[in-house]
Amino acid sequence: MKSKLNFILPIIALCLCSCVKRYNVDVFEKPQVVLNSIITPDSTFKIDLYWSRKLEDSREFSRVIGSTVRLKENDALILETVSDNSRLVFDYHPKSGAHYSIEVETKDQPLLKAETTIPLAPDAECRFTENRARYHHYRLDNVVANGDPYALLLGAFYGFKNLPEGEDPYYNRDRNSQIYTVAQFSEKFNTTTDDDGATITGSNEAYWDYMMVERKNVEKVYPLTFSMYGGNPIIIYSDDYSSYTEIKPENTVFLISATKDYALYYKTLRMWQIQNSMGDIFNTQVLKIHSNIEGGLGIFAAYNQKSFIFEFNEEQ
Amino acid sequence: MKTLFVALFIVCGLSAFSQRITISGSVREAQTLEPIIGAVVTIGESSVATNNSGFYALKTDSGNQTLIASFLGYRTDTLQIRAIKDTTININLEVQATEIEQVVVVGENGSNSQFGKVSINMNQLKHTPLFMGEQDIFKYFQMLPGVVGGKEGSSELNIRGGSSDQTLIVLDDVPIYNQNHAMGFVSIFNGDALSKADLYKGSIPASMGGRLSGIAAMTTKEGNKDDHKQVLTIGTLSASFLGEGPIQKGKSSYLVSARYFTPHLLLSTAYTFIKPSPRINYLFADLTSKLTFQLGKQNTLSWNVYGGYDAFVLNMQEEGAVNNNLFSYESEAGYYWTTLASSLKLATQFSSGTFLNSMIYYTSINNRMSGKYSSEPNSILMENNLRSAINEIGFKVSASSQLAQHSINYGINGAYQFFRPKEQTYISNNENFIVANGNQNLLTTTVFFDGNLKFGKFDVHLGVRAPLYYNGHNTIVDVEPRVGASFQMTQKSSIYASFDRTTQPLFSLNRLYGGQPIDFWMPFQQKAIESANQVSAGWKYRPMNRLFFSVEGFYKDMNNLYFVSNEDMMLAGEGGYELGSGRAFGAELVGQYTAPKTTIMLSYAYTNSTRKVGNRQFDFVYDTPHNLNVYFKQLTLKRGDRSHYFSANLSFRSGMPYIITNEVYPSWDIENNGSTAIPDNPLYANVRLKNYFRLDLNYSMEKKLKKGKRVWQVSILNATNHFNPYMVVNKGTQIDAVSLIPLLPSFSYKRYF
Repeated sequence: MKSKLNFILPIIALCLCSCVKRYNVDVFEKPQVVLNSIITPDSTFKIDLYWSRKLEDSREFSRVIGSTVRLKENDALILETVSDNSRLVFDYHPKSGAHYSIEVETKDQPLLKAETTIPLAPDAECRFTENRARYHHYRLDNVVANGDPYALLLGAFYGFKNLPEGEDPYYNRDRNSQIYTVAQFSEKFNTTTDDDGATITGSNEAYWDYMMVERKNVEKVYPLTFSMYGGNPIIIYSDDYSSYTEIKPENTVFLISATKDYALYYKTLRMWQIQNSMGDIFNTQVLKIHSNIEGGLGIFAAYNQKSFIFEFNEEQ
Repeated sequence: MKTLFVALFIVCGLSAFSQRITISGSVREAQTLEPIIGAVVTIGESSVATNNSGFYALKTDSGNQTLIASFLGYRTDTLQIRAIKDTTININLEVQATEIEQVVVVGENGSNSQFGKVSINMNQLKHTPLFMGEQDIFKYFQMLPGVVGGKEGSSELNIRGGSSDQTLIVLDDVPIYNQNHAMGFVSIFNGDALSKADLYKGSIPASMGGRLSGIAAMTTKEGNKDDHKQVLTIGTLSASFLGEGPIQKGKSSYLVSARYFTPHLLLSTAYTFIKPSPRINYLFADLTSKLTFQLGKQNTLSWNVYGGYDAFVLNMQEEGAVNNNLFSYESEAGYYWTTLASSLKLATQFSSGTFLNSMIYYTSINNRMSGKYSSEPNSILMENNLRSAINEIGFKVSASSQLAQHSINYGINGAYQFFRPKEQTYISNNENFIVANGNQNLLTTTVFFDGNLKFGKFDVHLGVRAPLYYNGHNTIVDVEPRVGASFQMTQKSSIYASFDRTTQPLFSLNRLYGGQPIDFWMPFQQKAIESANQVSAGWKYRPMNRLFFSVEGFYKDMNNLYFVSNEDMMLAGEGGYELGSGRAFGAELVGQYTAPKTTIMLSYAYTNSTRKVGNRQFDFVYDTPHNLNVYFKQLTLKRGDRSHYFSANLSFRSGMPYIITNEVYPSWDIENNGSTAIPDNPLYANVRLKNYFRLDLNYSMEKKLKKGKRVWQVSILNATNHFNPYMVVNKGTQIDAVSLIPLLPSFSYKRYF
């Protein structure tokens, strides 16, 4: 709401009495190296190296080629390679609780450095409680934030894992659902209000994708009842159209332990996206998206997660 | 401290061995009996300026003496006196109404307290160009060398390379945390209700502090003790009324002044007949009042109240039908801010020539953004509020004495500030949520001492201020020396040098970006308090009565400056800021010519202001290397009861540094959800805007009537229609600048009864 008000009120005033002109200034100095890598035990290492660019340059970001990348696990070198024109994938799963550091050496550029530690996965119990007009309601109990992470993030997705051969792979993609719940001590940076559907969703407050709860507030928020959009089923007819199969989407609930860098990156990125969608010219301060890369831009951060998959029976 | 004790010893010693008499009294305006603050009273070799109540006291030898009382805009009064014991002499000065006077005092010779200070008598501003029909003291301050106004049309005062929140604004000694009406286009101070305004850029008295860069001190009129007077003003933006007069003739007085944004009335009336959607309305209003009571011969009690209110409201509503189902909704979004300040002051004059000033006060700024939404038939009610506030209560007790040709002022003041930086309330049907980012407190206690010593042609100021700050977690004590000395080289010229240390226990979150009309204030966050050390030196030269020149230079370093990178994180106690340092230096030149019909003032300032965070040094957003202002006023017609004046302001300054995002980089999820280009928003200014230029013209016609007078004023702002950006925005494909003040005519009608 603040963002809306910040934007709407002064812009109306400006519309009434302002004049606008194109202003020619050039402030871009030189491109910087961007290192992006979010690591989790559930996935192998993926590292992206890009060059930053001017805002008005509509071309795709270009990869940084020829950089030397060194990756260490608990101070022991586990990877040294040179970047090429593709995402750097290292077939190795980060370990829960391990410390990782990365260095990127690029000609005529500052040395990039960053480090992170994989947090322990949280514990919790999640159960399906009811279904209201395709909004699936769940309850999370016995939530334990192991290893004292910076924050817990709750997210929900729906998708189709086992479509018959030949069906549109579009349906196979996991789709992110908003989280609908009433939680006073969660972070409110990505909330929206949805009064119309409150009787179905159980709440007029919805979280854009993840609901973030700082570690200090975990016990105040959980146990928690929430709902998500369960997704539309797809209907597959038999060849003679005499019968059909309705395949309901599968729901996945993620509870994520986040490091401080991951949580702040996610939070500031979402805040910027919301601010950007509203217009950012009247905000009190220019939002700086969190970065922990020394000597450049980007993020090198970690999370760990516990997932709960809910499958629903096919119906004839 | 050793120097201070030596000075105290000298002062006290001189007092002890002196056998002279005390001449004391008050200096007032002859017609209104309004006290004149800062009037210079001279007896023989000794001179003194009247205090905030218009009182003076001087030690002198008994016998025949010449007493001279003078002040800007008033006829100098010379009295031959013969006194053999302590005597009270009250002086009433006549206004110099028939000729144009100089507008600004930039240090009169022989009055060292004026170094680094600019005093403005509000009477002298009445023929200067109007800003949207308003006679705005802040717009005049912005013309002075060493002061930069920030964004086009704003009421900011960025002094000597500092930021707006580093300038302490006080009204009758009460701190004011918001100076903005109408998003900053008009200051909250109603010029009709003010008698005097002072701006300190250096040589700041130890009795004032709490900000790094300077002080703007406004004084409300006391109210006419002799006759009832009214002033009605109707301008482009507002209408105001001022009434003043005696409650008991010669002993007590009242002053009430109210101002109202007149377009609000027009829009509100129109909306009763038509209800467009959306409906926009804006309102500002303020009230200034003062009651003054003379209690016996020695005590003056005054009660000041200021209240200001702004509201910007957007209403929307819709009714209709979908599939034969009726629906309706109403929404209201508003931005409101309220400023309140009140003080109770007691000024006591003792027979020895000692003055005691006591004051208790309350001040606050409450800022609220709200949104309401209701709809039918499903009876949804939703309300969101975002509040930010600061409330302060405080006291100040000070005593001043004249000891031979020396004077001292010492005292103590304390303040308790309660901050509510950001509180959000969600009300949805029957549920109510409050998200508050912890309220914060600040306790300040300060003792101060100012000594003005005179040794022949040397004037020395020895001041020290010792504040104690407590933010609920950390206690910080500082000692701020404020010292200076001047030397009267000849009757026409003098030189001076001074050193000031200042500290600041609170800061504004939007000090760097200034995107909103209201500052969000917070106290210091860790055991690090903002501080500044400034050295300044100057030369003043008055070759003849009509000509005046001054040159001042300064160097200032600032430490532990808070740079906010993420407001939400800072409010949540998650960091979101860095500590840095700053440096500013510059030179300020003033030339002034004052003739019976013509006044010309030319000021130029060179300033360099940088900031450093970590290893990165950058130009501060208010860094303005070149700042030139020319003011011209001419009496064009003087015939019988009619006087016509033409005046013009010309302002030129270097474009200010500005933060423009022009670099983007990919976010992490680029591979999964497509290319997301996120900005590398710099924390420092990375571009300098084009130079600023504005020419304002004014023509005023004054006519004396049987009772009172009337003044018509017509002004043209930005007469050359120069494009001065208010803001610059990178829209992705191009960079756009928005200007708010094109060629803009305005008028004002003022009727004195």
